Amino acid sequence: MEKLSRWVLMLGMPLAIWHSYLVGDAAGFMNPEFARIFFWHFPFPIMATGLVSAGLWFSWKYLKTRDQAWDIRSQSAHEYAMLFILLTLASGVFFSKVQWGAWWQNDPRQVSFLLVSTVYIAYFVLRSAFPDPDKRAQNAAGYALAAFLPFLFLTFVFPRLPQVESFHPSETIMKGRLKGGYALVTVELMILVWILTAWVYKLRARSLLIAHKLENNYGSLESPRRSDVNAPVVRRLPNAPSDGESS
Amino acid sequence: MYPVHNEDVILQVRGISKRFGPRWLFRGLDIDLEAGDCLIVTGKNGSGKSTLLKLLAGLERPTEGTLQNGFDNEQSNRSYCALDQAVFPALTVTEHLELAAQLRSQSPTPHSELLTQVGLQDHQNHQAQHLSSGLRSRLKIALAIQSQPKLLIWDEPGVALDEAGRELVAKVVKEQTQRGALILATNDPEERRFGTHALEL
Amino acid sequence: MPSSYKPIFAVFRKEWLTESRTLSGITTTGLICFVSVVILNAITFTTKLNPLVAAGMYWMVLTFSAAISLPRTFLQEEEQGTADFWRLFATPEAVFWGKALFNITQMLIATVLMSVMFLIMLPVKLQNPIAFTLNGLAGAVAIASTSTLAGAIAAPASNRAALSTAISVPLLIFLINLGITGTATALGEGLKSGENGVIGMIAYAIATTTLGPVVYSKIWKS
Repeated sequence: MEKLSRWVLMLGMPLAIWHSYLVGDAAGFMNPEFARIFFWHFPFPIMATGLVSAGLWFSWKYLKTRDQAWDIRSQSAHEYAMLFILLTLASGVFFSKVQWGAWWQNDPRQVSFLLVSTVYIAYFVLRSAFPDPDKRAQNAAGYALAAFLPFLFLTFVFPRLPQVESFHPSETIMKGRLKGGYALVTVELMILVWILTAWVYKLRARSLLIAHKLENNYGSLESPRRSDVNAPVVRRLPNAPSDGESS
Repeated sequence: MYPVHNEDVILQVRGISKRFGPRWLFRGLDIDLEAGDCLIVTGKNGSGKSTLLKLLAGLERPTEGTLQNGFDNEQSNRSYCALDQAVFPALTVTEHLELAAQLRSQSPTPHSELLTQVGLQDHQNHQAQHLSSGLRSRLKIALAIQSQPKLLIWDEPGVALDEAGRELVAKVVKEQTQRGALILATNDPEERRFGTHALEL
Repeated sequence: MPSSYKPIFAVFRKEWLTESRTLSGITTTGLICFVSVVILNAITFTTKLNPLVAAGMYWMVLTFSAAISLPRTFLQEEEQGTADFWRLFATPEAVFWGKALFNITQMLIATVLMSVMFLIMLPVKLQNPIAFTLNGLAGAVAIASTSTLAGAIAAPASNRAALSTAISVPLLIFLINLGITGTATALGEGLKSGENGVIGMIAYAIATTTLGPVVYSKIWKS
């Protein structure tokens, strides 16, 4: 499966990028050729949302099982979520400049993702405050659970608050006005970015798991044998009353 | 912790382990305590005595293993007393006892007998911040035995106590072994004599 | 909610007794609110405030005063070493509800005082007192629950005071926006369906007070 993903990425990504330059310029834009940033800008927030949701699930699993592997998965998911939040902002800022003439428009969707970024920067600040891995995992998982509520509201409710008006052409996508080559490239890149994300996430989680094992087993990937660890035994004292007398 | 259904069993521990990063403090520890048992836990500094007692008291989670109690209401039937355990500076002695009783959903009972037993009868309206460390230790003993628990877990009982305080420890130990079981972490030879079982970490 | 309310009120009573002897929490919150309104008054002076800007100022002051002072109920337990007392004698739900209830009381007092000063000292005109009151009260509940939870999450860290403020502000961001919608509408900003902000705030208050004990029960023991 992993091999297949790599082949799909190696062949598919250059083809999709090439295809994105073959489709005709979008109409109604100040710089139509730059409107192609949309092909990248569109999947980024979706990936970020998916990864934040995955991070929430892994955090919950950690709190249920107390297995460090779930915390490592949660950390990896949140790291890539943060990356996609920043990529969403960066591609949005670029789009804003070339299409609307200013780097920052105070567009509610721009602002909402900026606010979301502060919520998840705080996640990493919190992680760094706990040197003990168990406390770090536990409290970061608690925060991830608490942060999901503002994340949902900021992503889905904030852009619809009455005091804000968005430049984002939501209707173009929601009402199926994205057609032809543009729609095809959007779908192609959506799938490819999704595969890429899954692959790099897996690599990151795997490397963190190995680092965790090495750190916990004095540089070895194997856990110490039970006999290598102090296994104390309760012994009955000679002066103690017998079982019949004790209770 | 889960209750076990055997009237004699107070505590059943199976394969309990604790690790901090790469270091295992102990691994695969089994403990069975019945009414009348007194387990003495000894060991060098840093061997994990206090950590083990905190695990048994339910204050920390073990890395591996299970703990089962022979009773239902943990707040009332399991008590813990330790030197590093703090009390609320702004609350009086009586307010501490009232708070503990309310948290355990116990009906309010007069505390005068308990306060006399631990030697705090003249300090009941004093705030904890105005008590000496010895008197604070007595307050912690009062809180630990207030609910007449089936299991008392006690870390370094005699530390910070005077001669009368040590006599109080002996009395509480005797009463506790009649009522249930006791776990003491100590390196004091006098206190080790209370034990029916020993565990060296 | 735990089956018995007695332990919750025991935690609340302990907080109340401690606060009544030190007055540290309410004076901190009150002072931050008071100084902030005085500063806003000095800045705006004769300028007529747009309701949206005034609402923004109002919620910024409330949020920051809460983020600084409310997590204290959990932070001081770790500082004093009394966190184990609760773990021994109480359930996590009782501890969270008791402390949240105390913080809600404190926040309601601060919100009422702050609102009175705000309306008297700043050049704003109240158009819809019911929306203003409901929005403020629901906001106080939501802010208090969120800050209480942030305090519980940050308490075991060594830099707990700074950390609790650092994590509670991002958690409160959306709440500020909801609050601004409701308050601006109450101050006369003609927002389309602005009253939904008040409903949103009440929903958010319910969501945060429900989420708090669930999260706390998972993190209270290490």
